[in-house]
Amino acid sequence: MVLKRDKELERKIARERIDELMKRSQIYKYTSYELAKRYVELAKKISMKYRVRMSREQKRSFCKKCMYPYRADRMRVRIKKRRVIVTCLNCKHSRRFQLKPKTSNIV
Amino acid sequence: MRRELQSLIARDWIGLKVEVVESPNESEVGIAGEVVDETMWTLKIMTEKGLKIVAKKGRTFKVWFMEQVVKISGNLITFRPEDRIKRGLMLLKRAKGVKV
Amino acid sequence: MFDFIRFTPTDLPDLGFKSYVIFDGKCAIALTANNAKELREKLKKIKDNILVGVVGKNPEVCREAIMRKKVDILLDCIERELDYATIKLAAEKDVTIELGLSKFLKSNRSERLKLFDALRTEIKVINKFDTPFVVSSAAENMWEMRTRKQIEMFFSFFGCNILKARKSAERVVRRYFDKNYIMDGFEILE
Repeated sequence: MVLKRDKELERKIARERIDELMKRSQIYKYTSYELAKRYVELAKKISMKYRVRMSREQKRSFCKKCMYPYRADRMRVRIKKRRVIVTCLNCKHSRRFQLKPKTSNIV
Repeated sequence: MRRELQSLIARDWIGLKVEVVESPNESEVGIAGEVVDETMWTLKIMTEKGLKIVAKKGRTFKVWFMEQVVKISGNLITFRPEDRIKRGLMLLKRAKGVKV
Repeated sequence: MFDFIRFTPTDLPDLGFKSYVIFDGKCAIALTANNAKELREKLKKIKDNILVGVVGKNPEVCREAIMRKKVDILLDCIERELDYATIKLAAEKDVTIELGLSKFLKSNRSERLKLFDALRTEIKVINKFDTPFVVSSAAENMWEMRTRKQIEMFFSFFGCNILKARKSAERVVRRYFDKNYIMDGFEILE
């Protein structure tokens, strides 16, 4: 039998790399936008290759079509009818998130 | 500690401090800085004088990781950054006398 | 330069070697076997990370030893026969071949001629495939030890590259006895 792959170790290292790359893309998005895009692409490739899921905040921090991370002067945020609509101004692709009704503590 | 240093072959070097120690091109010796990007054959290093692109094959590098210095030859890391995790671990498993 | 010997010496003068690798069971292990099954069972009992050498008596045992990941060195004896395919496999699987001097000292006149002939062909094939190899005295008692220069002159007369032998010896020994060495081209500084 050929050598066995240690998939758990691979997933552990992949998890660390994805976290670090997404953090670096948030730091660098105002100084060099192209580098930040490259980090997001790498994180997505690693997550696909080793079957490791990104967290919800990580997934929502970049545009799915053009892979640029969202930043304050290249995005548009609107609220309508209990939904948040985020539009990326580089490629005009928009996405929507549902807001859950908040249950207050005062009954 | 030794296992973390062994996994240096299996991870890409984006964000680490690196210095070129040996190279067939004499003007490349002494380039030091932080790694910004990586491809299959090259490393992009940001030095004080600007962005430098250095090939991996045939060169030896010094890497600073977790307050220790490791010397690695570039022939062992000629892979794409997303491939490095799998191929690096296979290299370590094939070698004799190495406990993964 | 390191010498690979099979007994524990006492009162050694300086023979020009950096250090000795002794196959006694504590710092290195030497195994013998008559067929492949015995070798497999003996290898299963070894659990530590230690230098393992196999004395090759038949070609079948040699081939089985090269395919194993635990084996580092193929030791030398009078009955060893290495052929083309074995040396090519050893180059791929990274197993060192030992060229020893003691079998020439023990043999008669006609046997020695045949051994010289076999040595010449082995060295030709080793140079062709670039297998790692090591040059030593293979001594079993203190009368068979020689100085470093004598062994190197003897084997370089038959055409082997002594610098490569020194490098391969360093590689095999540093794997197990140096804390800062992990692989070929991978070292921890300070």
